[in-house]
Order: sequence, then structure tokens, then C-alpha cells
Amino acid sequence: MSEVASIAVTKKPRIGPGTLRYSVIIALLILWELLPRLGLVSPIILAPLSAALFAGISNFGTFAQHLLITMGELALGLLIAYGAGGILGLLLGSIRPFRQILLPLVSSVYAVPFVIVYPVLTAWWGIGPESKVLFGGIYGLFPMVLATAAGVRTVDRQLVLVARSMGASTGQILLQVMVPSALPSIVSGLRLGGALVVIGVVVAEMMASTGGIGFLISGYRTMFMTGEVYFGILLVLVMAGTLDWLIGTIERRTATWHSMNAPRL
Amino acid sequence: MASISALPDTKEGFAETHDIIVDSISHVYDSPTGSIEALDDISFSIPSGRFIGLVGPSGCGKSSLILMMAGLMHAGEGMVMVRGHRITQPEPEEIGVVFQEASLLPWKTAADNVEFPLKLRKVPKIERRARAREMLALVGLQEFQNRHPHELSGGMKQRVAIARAFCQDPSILLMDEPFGALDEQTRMTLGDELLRIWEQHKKTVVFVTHSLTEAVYLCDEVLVMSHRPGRILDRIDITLDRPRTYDMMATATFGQLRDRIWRLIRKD
Amino acid sequence: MHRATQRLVQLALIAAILGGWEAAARFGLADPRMLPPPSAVGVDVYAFIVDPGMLYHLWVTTSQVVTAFVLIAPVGIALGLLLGESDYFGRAFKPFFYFVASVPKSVFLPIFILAFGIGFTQKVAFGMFQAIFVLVISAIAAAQSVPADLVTVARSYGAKRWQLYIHVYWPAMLPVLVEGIRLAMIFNITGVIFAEMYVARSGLGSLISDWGMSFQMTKLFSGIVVAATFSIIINEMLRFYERRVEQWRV
Repeated sequence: MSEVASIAVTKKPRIGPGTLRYSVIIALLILWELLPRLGLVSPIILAPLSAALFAGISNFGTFAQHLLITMGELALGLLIAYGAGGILGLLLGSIRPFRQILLPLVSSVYAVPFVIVYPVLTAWWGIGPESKVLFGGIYGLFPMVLATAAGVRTVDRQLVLVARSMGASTGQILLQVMVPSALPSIVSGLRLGGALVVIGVVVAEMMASTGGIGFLISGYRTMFMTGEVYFGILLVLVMAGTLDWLIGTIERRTATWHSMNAPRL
Repeated sequence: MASISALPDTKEGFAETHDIIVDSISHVYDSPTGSIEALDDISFSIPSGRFIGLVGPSGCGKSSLILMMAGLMHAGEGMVMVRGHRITQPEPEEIGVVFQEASLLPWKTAADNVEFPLKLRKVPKIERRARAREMLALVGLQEFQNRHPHELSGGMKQRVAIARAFCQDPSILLMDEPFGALDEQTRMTLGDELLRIWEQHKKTVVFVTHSLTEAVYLCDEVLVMSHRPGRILDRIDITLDRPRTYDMMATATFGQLRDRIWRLIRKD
Repeated sequence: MHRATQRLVQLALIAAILGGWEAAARFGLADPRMLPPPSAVGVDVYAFIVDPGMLYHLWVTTSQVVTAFVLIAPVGIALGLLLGESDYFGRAFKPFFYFVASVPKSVFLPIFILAFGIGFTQKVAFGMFQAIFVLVISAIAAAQSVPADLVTVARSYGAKRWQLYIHVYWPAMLPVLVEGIRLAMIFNITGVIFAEMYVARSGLGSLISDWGMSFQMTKLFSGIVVAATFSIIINEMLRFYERRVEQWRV
């Protein structure tokens, strides 16, 4: 009897993992606020959270104006990445010779940092919004093409055969069988592609631009206005997070059936 | 089995009473190990309104034959005539196909799946819906019309596939081992149901199966194919009354017919 | 289509593009000042690799990339293995890492500049920052990819803990780890070069950025070629190793 009791492991009710995580996050937020205020970290490097928010509120007009510019560039960039990317991906995925020849090339280029191409775009199109839209759009195009192509490749051939037996035209097969079947992959392409468009646009604005959040952040940095820098960064994070959340809802709406069959990318 | 390659010209009226005429089909395909002769000069005809079985060992080309009859595959040599004309591409209004895998679109409900062939033909929504509901009732699944395929059992999915094939109201139904992936009890139930539906809507049916019992039970006649390269060994008349009942399976006639088919295949 | 045919068509395609580009620049279809012909770019690439002044910049970039990697790899991998092995810490902090990994990290560069200036330290720190998240996530996946039944069998044969690590865990984890290292390296290189383009006195990125701003297009293209080749070579080297290590994987 006592042997059993001594062997038995007593589970001390420790802090649950979720609680631990939230405690750490809250602790970090508190440190964010206090460390610069107490002078333990220079406020030029780490602006207190409250200072960042205050900087945002007091410069609301400026931030709003440039946020609009960035969002405009983002919208057009997404159009390019999703539109051209989706079409190219469909073509690449469904037409065998294309896929076998072009797909390996596209994935080899993946290792190259795309930023190095940006100066060419500014040389050709200047430092206005066009270069941002193009850069972000092309940057997000790559994962979209790869994901869409992968989705189309994994379409159940039997479904296509059945549709053909019902006399479906090529267009009907493409739109009514292949695209819905490829949807989970396409949505993950939307996710990754969208994230890259955001990164592309903001990074381009940071490097050389006439406006936009990235431009603001860079400008504030050179003037050591750290609070404003942090607020700008927060805005970018919120923008990226919102886009991701939006795509997440799309993913949830299309999840009725595909959670059973979704290919994991 | 007399050659019927002189068919369409000399025997007038033949094409009218025979829904499907397979004329001297041969087919060779390429594989990594070389070219393989799949079908060897196959000819047969299928009279309208009859339920014909097609049995044979694995790899004998039965599935290829079905694809050719459906207009989904081109034969190397020879041709298939359907209702008097040569078939080169799918004709959904004449021919409905049911495969071993139900292949329902997983993102659509049962009803949406059944009406899909009509949707492809741009039939108006109200009409499509009504017809789909009718077909689902025919296979006894009207309560499940709004379910998705992943909520249905294998047997139910096949019933939906059958309903879908019937939805087009084709005069010919090609079935390639439709019950092959199901357990025996479901097979028997679905077999009876298929016969029941067939009695109501007399279609010409070509039914491919591995199961000799199924072939004898369901069909009017059974075409027996050889192993690869596939040829027609014989055409056996099933001399059992309709409607078929389970008791018939215990009769001597049933056993003899089954036996006959088995011997043909074994000997080959 | 055979692999050999594929390769041939790919090479032919690349040759055709280069040929078309050369023709367009030479015959005035495109402005050769804006789009210099490949031949001119090639000349500048050659000039680059024989010029010690230029090679110095390549050296700067390489040293930054390597330093960042050497410093962060053990940390990231160890952290990831810990999170993968420990159910408790894993559940606590995995979501955190996944979340931050999905955030656009390049936007934090100005903070690194405020903290570290614009020199070597800042570039290394930023490269480390870019790489660590992929490393942790890959290491978590690696730890969780060890087939439980293999461990059970080994233990039933009396394997001690360190023997398990060497003979079961390590070989099982290696493919995933190497892939993670390769991806982390891509992020590292991208981060360092971006940081150099943004503001720096030396390095490949700074060269590219300067040439772009002064419209020296031929030099700019040659810089892009050098940087691209640099990245591709490192990636292919790691990919080669990755393939060797994962030969037993289905």
C-alpha cells in the first residue's frame, strides 16, 4: 500500500502552459513600458509603449495620410499577386509541359533575396507608388503561383473523368472541378502571397519612396523620433495581421469539406 | 460468335434495335516495359433495353472498353457506334457512366452533385432542383439531399452517383464495377435496388463486374472476356426469370450458369 | 518527359531569354542605358570578381551572414528542440513563435539601427533575428518527427538515453533540421542584404543600392547577378547536403 503511494507521481498543479504564455507576454509589455522609463534602456532604442501610442495619436493626420497611400499600393499589389499569380499557377499546374519545365526554375529562384531587384524598378519607374506596387505584387506572386500550381496538381483525376463523361467543356472542368478542388492550396497561397505583398510594399517604401508608412518610419528614424517609429511599426503589424485574419475567415468559410481532404502544403 | 463487322450497311434496322455496337476494337498502349496489347479485335452488340454483364480477369481491358463506349477514350483500331452513330466524345444525353469510385464533388451536397450534369448543360435552376430531388427519391436518399459526401457511407455515395447518372436521363448506362468498393451486404442491397430502378426505367445497361454471382444475378446476358489481350470468349444467356429473387441463387440453374462462366475464364 | 529533356528545354529557355534581351538592348528595342545587354553585364561581373575592392564588399556580406548564422544556429536549434520535446513549454511558447514568425520582420530594421548603429554588429543582429524563428519552428518539427515506435523498439532493446539520442533521435531529426537550416540561411542572407541596402557603408547590398541611385545600370545588374549567384550557391550547397541526409526518408 505504501509502496504504491510512494511510486505514484503527485502532480503539483503548476501554472498551465497557456497561463504561462500570457504571463510572459504581459511581463514583456510591462518591461516595454518600464525599462525605458526607468532609464535601464535608452528611450532612443526602446520607446515606452505609452509613448509610441501617444506619438501615433498626436500625429494622427500624418499617419492616416500615409497609411492610405500604403493601403492603396497594397491593394493594387494584391491584385497583381493574386490575379496574375492565380492564373499563372492554374496554367502551370494543369499543363504538364509547363509544369515540368518552369516549376523547378521558379523554385530555384526562391533562394535569391528579391530586394536586390528593387533598385532596377526605381530606376525604371521612379520612387513613386508604381515601383512599390510592382515590387510587392511580384514578390507575392511567387508563392501564389507555387501554391495554386500545387493545388491544381493534386486534383483527383477521377473527378475530372466523371465531369468529362457528363460532357463538361474544358472551361467548365477548370472552373467547376479543378478550382474548387484546389481551393485549400489556393487559400494558403493567398495567405503567404498576401504576407509577402505587405512586406514588399513596406520594405520598398522604407528604402526609397515619396510616401507610405515605410517612408514615415524611415524618416522618423533619421530624426530619432523613436515613439513615432514604434507606432509606425505597430501600424504595419496591424495591417499585416488584419489581412491575415481576413484570409483566415475565407479559409474557415471554405472549410466545410476540405478539412477532410486538404493537402498539407 | 459471328463477326459483325459488315454490320451497319447490310443489316438494316440493326443499329436501331441495338444501342451499342462495338466493331473490331483493338487497342495497344505504351508502358515503361514496352507496348501492351490491351484489346484484341473485339466485336459485340448490345440490344436496347437489355442488362448486359461484362466479366473477365483483372487487366483484361474491361474498363478500357467502358471508357471507349463512353467516348472518353479512343480505340487504336475499330469503332464504337451508339444509337446508330459513331461515338468519339462523351454524349451525356445518351450515355451515363458510373465508376467504381463514386467521385462526388466533395464540396457539393448530394442534391448539388446529382444536378451537376444538368448544371453543366445550363438547365434552369428550378428544373434542375426538381429533377435532382426526383432522382434522389428514386434511390431512396431524399432525406440526405443536403448532406455532403463525407457524411455519407460508401453505399450511399454510390447511390448518389447512380442518381446523378440517371439525372441526365440517358438511354444507356455504363457501369464499371460500381459496387466493387463496397461490402457484400451493401452490394446485394444495391444490386436489388438497381434492378428495381431498371425495371421502372428500361435503359440499356452494360455492367462490368468481378463478381460472377453478381453478373448472373443481375444480367440478361453475360459477355465473358479473356485475359489480356482481351477478347470475347463467349456470350452467355442468363435463363432466369425476372424479377430476380434471392432464392434463385440457390437454384441449380444459377450454379450452372456461374460455373460455366468460371470454367471459361479458368480455361483461358 | 525525361529529366534530361527537361534540363535541355530549361537551358534553351534561359538561352532564348538572354538572347532576346541581348538583341533588344543592341537593336534599340529597349533603351540600353536602362536595360543593359547581358554582354555588358557579364563584363562588369568579371570586373567585379577580379577587383579586390569589390571583393572586399562580398567579404563583408559573407562574414556578416556567416557570423549571424554561427551565433544563432545552436541557440535556435536548442530552443526548438526543447519546445518540441517538452510538452509543457511547447504548448506554452509554440504559438508565440509561430505568431512572430508570420509577422513581417523586416519592418523592425530601424530599431536595430537605433540600437546598434549601421555597422557589422547591427547587420549580424538583424540576420540572427530573421533566422531564429524558422530555426525554432524547424527544430520543433524535427523533434516531433521522431517516430515513437522507433524509440519504443530501441528502448525495449535496452538502449540508454544517450544511445537513443545518437542512434535514433539524431538521424531521424537530421533531414528536417537541415531543411530548417537551409530556410533559415535564406532568411539570414535576405536580412543582411536588405539591411545593407537600407543603410550601410559596405557590403553587397550597399553597392547595389548606390549603383541604383546613381543610375549605373550595368553595374547594378552585375551586382544583382553576383548577389543572386551568391545566394543560389549557398542554397544549392545546403540543398545538396539536405538530399544526402534525407535519402532514407520516403
